[in-house]
Amino acid sequence: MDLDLDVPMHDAIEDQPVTQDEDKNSGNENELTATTTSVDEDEEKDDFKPGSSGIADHKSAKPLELNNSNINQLDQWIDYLGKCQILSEDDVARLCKMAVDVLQFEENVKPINVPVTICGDVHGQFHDLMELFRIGGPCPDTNYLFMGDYVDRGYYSVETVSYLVAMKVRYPHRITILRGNHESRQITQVYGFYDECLRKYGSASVWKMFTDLFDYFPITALVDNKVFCLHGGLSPMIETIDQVRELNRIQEVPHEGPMCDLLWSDPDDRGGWGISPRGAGFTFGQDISEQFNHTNDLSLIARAHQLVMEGYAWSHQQNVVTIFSAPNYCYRCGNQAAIMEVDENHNRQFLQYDPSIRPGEPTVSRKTPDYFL
Amino acid sequence: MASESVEGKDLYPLALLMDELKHDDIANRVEAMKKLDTIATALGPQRTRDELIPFLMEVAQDDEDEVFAVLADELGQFVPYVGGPEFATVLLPPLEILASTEETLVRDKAVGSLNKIAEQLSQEQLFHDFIPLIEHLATADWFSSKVSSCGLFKSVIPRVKDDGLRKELLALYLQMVQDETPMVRRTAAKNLPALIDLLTENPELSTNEDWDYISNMFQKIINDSQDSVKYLTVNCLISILKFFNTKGDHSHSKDLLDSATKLIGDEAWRVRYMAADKFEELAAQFSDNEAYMAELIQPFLNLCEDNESDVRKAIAKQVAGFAKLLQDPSDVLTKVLPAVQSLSMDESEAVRASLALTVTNLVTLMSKEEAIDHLLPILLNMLKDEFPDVRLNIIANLKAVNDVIGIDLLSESLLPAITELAKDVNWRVRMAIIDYIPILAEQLGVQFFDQQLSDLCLSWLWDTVFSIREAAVNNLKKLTEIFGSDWCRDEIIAKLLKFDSQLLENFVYRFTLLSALTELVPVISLTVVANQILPFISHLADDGVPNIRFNVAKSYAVIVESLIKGGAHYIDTINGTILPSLKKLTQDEDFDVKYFAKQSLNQCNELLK
Amino acid sequence: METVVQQTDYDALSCRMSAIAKGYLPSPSLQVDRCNYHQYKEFHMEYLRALKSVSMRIYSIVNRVVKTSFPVMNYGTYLRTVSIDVALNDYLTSLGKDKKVQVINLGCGSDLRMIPLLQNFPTLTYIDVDYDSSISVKSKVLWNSEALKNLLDLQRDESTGEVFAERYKLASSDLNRLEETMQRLHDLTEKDCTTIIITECLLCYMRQEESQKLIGSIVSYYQSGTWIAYDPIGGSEPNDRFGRVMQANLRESRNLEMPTLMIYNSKEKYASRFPTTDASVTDMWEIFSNRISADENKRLRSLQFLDEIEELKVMQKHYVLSTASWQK
Repeated sequence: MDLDLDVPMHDAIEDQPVTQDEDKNSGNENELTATTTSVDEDEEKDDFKPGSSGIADHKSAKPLELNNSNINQLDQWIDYLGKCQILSEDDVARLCKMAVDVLQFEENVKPINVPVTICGDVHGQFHDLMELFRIGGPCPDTNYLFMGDYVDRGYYSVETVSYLVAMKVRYPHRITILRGNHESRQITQVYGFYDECLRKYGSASVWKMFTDLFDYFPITALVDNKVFCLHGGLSPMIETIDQVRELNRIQEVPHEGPMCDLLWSDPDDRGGWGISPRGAGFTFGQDISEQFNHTNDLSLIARAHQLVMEGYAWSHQQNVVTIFSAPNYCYRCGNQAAIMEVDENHNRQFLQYDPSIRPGEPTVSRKTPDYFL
Repeated sequence: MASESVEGKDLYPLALLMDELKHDDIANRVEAMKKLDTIATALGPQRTRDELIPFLMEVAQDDEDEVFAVLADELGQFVPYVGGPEFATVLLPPLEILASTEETLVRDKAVGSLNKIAEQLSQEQLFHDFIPLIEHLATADWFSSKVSSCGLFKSVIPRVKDDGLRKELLALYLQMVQDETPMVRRTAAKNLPALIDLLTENPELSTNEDWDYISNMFQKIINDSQDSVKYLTVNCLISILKFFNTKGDHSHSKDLLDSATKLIGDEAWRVRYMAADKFEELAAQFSDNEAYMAELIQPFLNLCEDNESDVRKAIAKQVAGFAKLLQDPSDVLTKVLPAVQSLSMDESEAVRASLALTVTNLVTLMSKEEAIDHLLPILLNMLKDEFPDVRLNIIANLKAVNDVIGIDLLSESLLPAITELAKDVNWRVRMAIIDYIPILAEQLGVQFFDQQLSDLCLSWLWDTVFSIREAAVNNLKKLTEIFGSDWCRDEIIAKLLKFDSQLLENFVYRFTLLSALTELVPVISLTVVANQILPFISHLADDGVPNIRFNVAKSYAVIVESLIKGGAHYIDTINGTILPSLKKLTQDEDFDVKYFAKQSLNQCNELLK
Repeated sequence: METVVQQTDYDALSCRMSAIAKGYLPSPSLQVDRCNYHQYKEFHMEYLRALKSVSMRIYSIVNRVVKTSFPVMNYGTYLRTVSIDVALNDYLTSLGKDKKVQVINLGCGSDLRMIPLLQNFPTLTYIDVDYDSSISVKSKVLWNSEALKNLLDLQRDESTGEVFAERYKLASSDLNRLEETMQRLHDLTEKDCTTIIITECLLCYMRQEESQKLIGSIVSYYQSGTWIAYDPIGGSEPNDRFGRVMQANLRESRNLEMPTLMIYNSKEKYASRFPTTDASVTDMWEIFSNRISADENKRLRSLQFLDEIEELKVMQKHYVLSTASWQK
C-alpha cells in the first residue's frame, strides 16, 4: 500500500528521467514544472508547519464561556456568513481561537443525544448547505451532526467552513462537526481550499488557521450509544469504540494507522479487509461491520465520504449507511443529496434534495474546465 | 494641501504601481489595477498624462485579460484625472489597443469606456480624434478591431450634422456589414438597430441618402449566408419600421411587411425563432393597417406549427399580445384559438408552460359566453397537464379569467390540479402552490375554502420538508387575516389542538404545532390566545427535547406582547402562568434554553414596564 | 458559436499539458513502448513555448489550468489520450508499415499526434483540419519554433502564408459547411487511399444534421478506412442527469451547445451514428477498469491521491471511444 504522499512523487520522477532534464532546461516554464513537486516543497516550508497560524498558542484550560458580548459577535458573524460573505482575516483568527477552546474539550467519540439530523459531505457548496437547512430546518431549532468534508471542490469552501465553525461556537450543544479526510493540510492543497483561501484573502494565513483548527475536530460521534458516526469507515486496528477514545487525534491526518482509516475507509461488497483504490484507508466487508456493531452493541454505522447518486445508500444489510449531502456534486455529477433525521424514538427518516436554485455562480472568467472538451 | 502631498510623495505611487503590475500573481496585478484612480489622484493631472498614461499603454500590450478588463473599465472614468475633457483624448490610444484584443469581455469594456469618454468630448475633439479612431479600428486587419468599431458609431452619428461626413461614416458601417468575417458582420448587425433608433430620435438628421445606405445594410443582412447574422435582421426591421411610423411615412410599409413575412418563413430555425420571439413588437408596427395585420395571421399560425419546439415556445408567449392587436374579434376565435388549442397539447412541455404564462389574458378579448365555450375547455385541460409548471402558470394567472367568467366554472378542474400540485414530489412545486392559496382563498370565498381546501392547508404542516411546514404555518396566518379570528378558532385551532397524539411523539411535529400556534397569536382574539393556545404551549415547557423548551420560551414573549393589549384583564395570566414558567426555564440544565428564556424574560419585563 | 467551439481547444490543450506536467502522460507502457512515441513531453513543451510568443493569452489560459487541475481531470485526460493513441497505433500496425495511409484529424486544434505518427510510419500522410482561426494559430506556432519546424520539415508558401510539409498539411475549413470541407479534402487527399478519420470532441458540438451529413459524405467518399471518435454521451438511464447538467452548465458558463448529447446518449445510439455495422463503442470507465494494467494503475495512483473515485466513474461512463471501419 502506498500511503506515503511523498514517496510516489519521487517515483514519478525516477520513472521519467527525461522529464527531469526537461524541467531543468526550461527555466521560463516555472509554473508548469513547479506543479509536479509543489506539494513536497510546500511541506518543507516552515510556515506550512502545523500550528504556525498561532490560533492555538493561548489555549484556555476550560471550555469557552459564552457571554453577551461574544454571543453578539457570533450572531453578527453568522448573519454575515449566512449571506455567503467572508469574514475578515482578523475575524477568522478570532473565530478559530474561540473554536479551539470549544473543540479541544470534545471527545474523540463525541456523545450525542436524539433527536439529531445527520449529514454527509458538503464540499464548499454553500448554497446547497443553505438548502439543507431549508429541508431539515434551521439550527439551533434542529440539532445537526455533520460528518466532515466541508471544504474543497465547491466554490465556497471558505464561506461553508466559516459558517459551520461559527455555528459550532455559537451553539456547541446543537451542532457537531466531525473531521473528514478533506479537513487536512495535504488534501486541501490539491483539491481547492488552499487556492480558494489565496484567492479570497491574498495569502495562506486563513488556510493555515483553518487547517490548524481542523486538528481539533472530533473524529467520531456516538448517537445515544447506538449509531456510530464518522467520515470514512472502520480500521483493522480498531475493534472497540474505547480504542478510538484512546487515540491522540490532535494532529494532521496521518497517512496510515487507525485515525487515517476512520477518515478514509469505505464499505465494500467483498468480505474482510481490502486495499482501498483511493490510496489510503481500507475497504471493509459486511463481516467486519457486523462484528464491530455486535462488539460495541451498535445498531448502525453512519458515514459519508462516498458519492452516492440517491444521496444515501445502505450497505452490509443495513449495518452501514452512507450519507452524502452535496447535491449535483462538483456542479456536474447530477446526484441527489440526503440527510438522515433520527427522532427521539430512534426512528430514522431520509430526506433527499436537489441543488438549490442559484442566482448563478460568479463569472469566473476562466475556471478549470469541468469537462473534457 | 493636495498638491503638497503629491510633491512630497514624488515618484512613489507610480513606482509602486509598476512593481505591483509586475507581480507574478495575477490577483495582485488585478488589485493594483483597481487602485489606478488613487494613483492618478496622487500624481495629479499633468503627471498622469505624461507618465501614467504612457506606462499604461505598455501594460495594455502585455498582460492577461483580467488585468486588461479592469484597465479598460478604469480608463472610462479617467477624464477628471487627466485634467478634464480638454485632455480626454490622451485616453484614446490605450483604449484603442484594448479595443483590439481577442477577448470579448475586454473589448466590450474598452468600447463602453470609449463611448463614455466620447460623451465628454467637444465637437472638435470628436472630429479630430474620435472619428479617426473609429476609422482606424474599422479598417484594421484584425477582426477584433473591426468588431469594436461597430460599437462606437452610435456615439458619433447623432452629433455629425454634416451630411457628407455622416454619409462617409455610414459607408464605413456598410463595409462592416459586408465584412468577410462573420463575427464582424454579426456585431455590425447587432448594433444597427441602436443606430437606427438614434435617427428616429433625431428625425431632422437623416437624409434620403442616409436611408439608401441603411436600406442597403438591411438587404445585406437579410441575405447573409450565416443564420447567426441573418437572425439579427428582425431587430433591424423593427427599428426601421419604428422610424417610418414615427415620421408617418408609410410608403415602405408593404416592402417591409414582405421582409417580415420572409423572415418569419425563413428556412433557418434561428431566424424564425427570433421572429417568433419578437412577434408582438413586430406586428405592432403594422397595427394601424387592417389589411397588413390580416396578412400576418397566416405567418403567425405557421410559427405556431413550426417544427422546432424553441420556435413554438417563443410564439406561444406572444399569442395574447398578438391577438390583442387584431382588429376583427372573430379572428381571435376562428384563427388564434385553434392554434392555442394545439399549442396547449404540444408535445414539448416547455411550449405548454410558455403558453400557460399568458394564455389566460385572451379572456379579455371575448365575451363571457365565448370564453366559456372556447377558452375554458383549453384552460381546464391545461390544469390537468402532466407537467407541473403548466398548471402552476395557469393558476398564477387565473385572476383575469376569474374577473370575466368567475371561478366557479373552473373549480371542478382547479381542485384536482391544486391537490396534485400539493402532492408533487418536488417541494418547490408544493411551495409554489402554497403561495397561491391566499389569493385563491380570496377569490373562492370562505365556504368553498372550508369544504375543499382547509384540510389540504393543514396537511402541509406535516410535510417532511421544513420549508413547506414553515410556509404552511405562514399560510394559516394569511388565511386568518382573510377569514378572521373566529374562523381560525373554529376551523384551524380546534383541529390543531385535537391533533393525533401519536404524531406528536415526534418532536418535529410538536415543533411545527408550536410554531403554528405562535404564528397565529398576533392575528386572533386574546380570549383564544389565553384560553386555548397558552395552555398548550405551557404544557410544552416541560418537553424532553431542549429545542422545544427554548422555543416555548420564545413563544412566551410573543404571547405576552399580545396579551398586554388586553390591559389589566390578562395581567394575572401573565404573572401567574407565563412568568413563573419562564423563570423556571432560565434555570434549565440546557445552556440554550437558559439563554433564550433569559432573553424572553427580559423582553417580557420590558413589555410589562 | 464558432469562437466558442474553437476555444474548447484551449481546454483540451490545457488538460493535456496538465497531465504531462503531473506525469500522467506520456504513459511509459502504452505510449512509449507500445506506440513508440518519443520525446512526448519535449515537443509538447516546445509547442507551448512557441505558443507563448504567438498568443500570450492562450498561453496564460493553459498555464493557469495546469496550476489548478484536479486529479479526476488528469485521469480523464490520460484515458482519452492514451485510448485514442492505442487505437490509432493498433490500426496502423495492423495495416503494415509500408501501407500507404492518410490520417485526417477533423477539428484538430492544437493536437500534436502528427509528430509521432509521421515519424513512426514513413508512408503515412497527415492532414489537420479545423477552423481558420485555429489553423492560423497552429501554423504560426509550428513555424515559430525552430525545433518543431525542423521536426516536421515544414515549408511556407510566402504568398499565402500557408505552412505545410511533404506529408503534412494544415487545412482550414468550417466542418459545418459540408461542401467546403469536401472540396478541401478532395484537393488534399486521395479517394482510394486507406483513410483514418480522427474526431476528438468534434461531433458533439455539431448539430445532428450537419454531423450526420459529414460522416455520411466522408464514409462514402473514401474507399476504405476507419473512424476513431471520442465524445461525451448524455446517458440513457432514467435517473441519469449527467448529460442534462452538462448541457446546462456549458450553455450557461460558456454559451457552448452540445446538440446531440442527449440524442446519441448511449453507447448503442452513439454507434448508430456510423453507417457501418461494426462500430465498436467503449466507455472510458470500461477502459479504465479493463484495459489499464495493474502496474500502470499503480503508477497512476502514485502520481496524485485520487480521492474521488466515484466521481471519476460518473464522468468516465459518459465519455466514449468509438472505432468504425468501412471497406467498399
